[in-house]
Amino acid sequence: MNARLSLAALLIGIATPALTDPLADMAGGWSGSGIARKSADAPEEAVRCRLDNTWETENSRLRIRGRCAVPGRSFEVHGALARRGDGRLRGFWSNPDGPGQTSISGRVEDQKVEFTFSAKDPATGEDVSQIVRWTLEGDVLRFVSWHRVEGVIMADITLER
Amino acid sequence: MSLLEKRIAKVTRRPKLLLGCLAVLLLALLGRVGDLTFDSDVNRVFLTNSPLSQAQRAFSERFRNTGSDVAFLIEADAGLSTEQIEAARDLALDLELHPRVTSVASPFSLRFPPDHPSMPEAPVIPVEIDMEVLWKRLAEFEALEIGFETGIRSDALILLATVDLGQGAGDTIAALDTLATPVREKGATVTITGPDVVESTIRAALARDLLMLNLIGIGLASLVAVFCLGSARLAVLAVLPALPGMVATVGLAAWLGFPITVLSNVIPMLMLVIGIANGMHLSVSLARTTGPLPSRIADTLTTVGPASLLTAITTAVAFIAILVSPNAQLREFGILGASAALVSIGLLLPSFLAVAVLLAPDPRPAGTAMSRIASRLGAWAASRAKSVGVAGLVIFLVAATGFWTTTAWFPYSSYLPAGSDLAPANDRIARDFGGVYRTWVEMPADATWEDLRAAVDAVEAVAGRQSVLSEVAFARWQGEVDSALSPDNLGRLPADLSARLRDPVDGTLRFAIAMPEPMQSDASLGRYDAIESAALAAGAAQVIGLPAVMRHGSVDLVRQLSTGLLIASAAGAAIVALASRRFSLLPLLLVVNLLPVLLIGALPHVNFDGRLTPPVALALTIAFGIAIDDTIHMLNRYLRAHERHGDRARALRTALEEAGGIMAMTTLLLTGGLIVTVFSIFAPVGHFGLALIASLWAALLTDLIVLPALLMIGGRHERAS
Repeated sequence: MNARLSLAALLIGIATPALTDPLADMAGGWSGSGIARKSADAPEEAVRCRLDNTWETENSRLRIRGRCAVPGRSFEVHGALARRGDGRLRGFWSNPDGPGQTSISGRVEDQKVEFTFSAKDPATGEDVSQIVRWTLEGDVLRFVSWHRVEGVIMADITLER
Repeated sequence: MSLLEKRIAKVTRRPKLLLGCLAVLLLALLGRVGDLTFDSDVNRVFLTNSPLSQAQRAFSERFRNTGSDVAFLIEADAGLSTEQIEAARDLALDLELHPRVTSVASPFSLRFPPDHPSMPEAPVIPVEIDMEVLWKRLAEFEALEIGFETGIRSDALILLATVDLGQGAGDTIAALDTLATPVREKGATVTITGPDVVESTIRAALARDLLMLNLIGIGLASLVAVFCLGSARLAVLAVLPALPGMVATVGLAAWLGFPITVLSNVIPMLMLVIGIANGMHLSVSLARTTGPLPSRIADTLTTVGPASLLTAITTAVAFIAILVSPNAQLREFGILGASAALVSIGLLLPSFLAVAVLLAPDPRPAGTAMSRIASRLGAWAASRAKSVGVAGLVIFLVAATGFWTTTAWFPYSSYLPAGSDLAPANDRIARDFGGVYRTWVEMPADATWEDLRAAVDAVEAVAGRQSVLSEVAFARWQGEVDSALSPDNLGRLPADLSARLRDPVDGTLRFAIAMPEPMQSDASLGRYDAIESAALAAGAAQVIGLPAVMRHGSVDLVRQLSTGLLIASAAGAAIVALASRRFSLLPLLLVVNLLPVLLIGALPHVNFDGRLTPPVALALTIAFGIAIDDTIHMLNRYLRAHERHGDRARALRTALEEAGGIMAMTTLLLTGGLIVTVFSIFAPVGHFGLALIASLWAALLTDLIVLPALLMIGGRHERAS
């Protein structure tokens, strides 16, 4: 479940606009693989995702839909991200199989987008807050997230168009 | 001139009008051919109205929407490399993401138990694959003896997916196959298999086979006709009238709403060769008749026509006899065959009439060489009637014993088209991973967790722990084997699996055993029987699933076909005796026509370990229907000659001269037409054809040797007063 939340945060990172507003470049189909872990002390698992993002020009919002799979199960990912007037990015993530909806906020530095989110695992109450960074280089997106307290890498996924 | 002859003479004046009417009729019969479908539903092959079949239907219906079991076998002869295993993991994950896949079980989804001291719930195959570490962890997992199949060997691994194949199963399978491309690019082979994949593969090959069989059949039968008759014009006269029957059979299947199956795709070709055999009798008789053409045609049709009609009736009776089977596919085969036999003769006689007017050759001797051989053989047998008769009876008894001691055998995989990758893949899965089929053991309604454990333990002792998929194994993984899985833990399993293991509707407990089809070999059959016995002895209510239906349904099928053969024999012989109004001929007819069938029916003892398969049993029934045709033609001429001059020996000579040669030619012709079955991509079709050919040659020899001998013994030929 925590792994799902991590992934959710990563995927929302896709939607975070840079100063040049790269959100529009995030639209389209993406697929890729990497690793994720359920909790800070859990072993790594292979993960594979497929996304189909839609850019809504009229309200500068990116809709994110897709599925991710770890061995033995898969789950839907769904979210949206919009740019506010003060330039900060606000988004939400909804995962019916996971912790429900959670908010994120972030900023853009050069080619990197970083944001944080705070959340607790609804089943265990464990803090699953994370720091997420995404990097867009041509047709490659890389996501990395860290546990905010433990500092361990929670997920690392590379997607290609 | 009789009324019939007058009418025939009238029609001969307008042959083109008659041909036009026949063409219109044929077009009407083909009116719904666009609706023709092809079917290979494994359930329809085996299911009857037995309690087991009913239970299987209820089980299939209950879980109709849970999807099909599809296996991806990944092999690398030189051993799986790290890259290949990583690609296989990506494939497993891609399958998880596919919209038609509801669940995936693979070596990558294995986890150590929650109470493992150092790796609780850790994936058995780590993300970073180091081969040494991989095999060490797998060995450690197997040592826990939980009972989960790891699904990986040094040179192969298997992914199991539950897939909603939908209406276009072939398209879905092709789409899934595309996902495996990266694995193939790493040098591994990937084969997709499973019960529904087998069905889909068979279905796709059926249409191709139907067209090929009929085209080659026409060509070969025509060549043999030219060879036997020594005249292209006579051959056309024999072949052309038979074509409408073959074409009409395809149209009939569409009108009746029957799909073409592996069995029924031989019926059009069968109608063709039977039609050409009748055409041969008619054209040779026409060639040998002198006088004005209308009289020659009328004479031929009044002499040979009734016998041809009778042969169609006996053939139809043979097909109708198959209706004793409650199996839907066999019943459709019987109905289509019987109606096709009658429609074909209905088209053949007027077609012959019209074609004869246009193409009839001048009077000439035809088939004299064959007639001489047949006459000599018959005369030799008649001269030592009692010895030949006794020998015939002894052979009859031995053959009958051999036939009744055969064992019913039906390997469904033999229906896979030749060259299919699925058969070796299924063998590999059977050898290393249990098999692609699942038998389900169902517990009584009031069964407790302890009852389930006892049954699982008993079956695991026979089948091996890794072949059994049960809630007990998951409880062992949880470390809580003394009690049933909690709803939360049960919910961790894929929904389609948990629903079958513990039915959410009525609470029925079940567990599954992976296995090959039972009749793949003696060993697999013995294993299935042992598993079934162990489950029932341990308190299971019933054992269902495709393997159970294959095991028991095949025996039922062969038994029903054997019953059908007996009925066909009795009915066919009775009809001929009735038509000739000589009931004293009944025993003779039975012996002469059952002898070749029983001989070929006993042949499996020689080359197939005594295993009698449904296609061969079916061929024997049809062979009886065709074999009795020769006897009808022979007796027809014998009795007519006997009525004319009252001398048995002379009547036999006449019958052998008039019919013996044609019988030999028709057998050659049928062989030429049926030999096409060996080109079929389905082995059972080839077995069907070869059994039929062997039966027909045995029937010819019986008609030329045993029948003359028996006719010379006693006075069976005398009309009952």
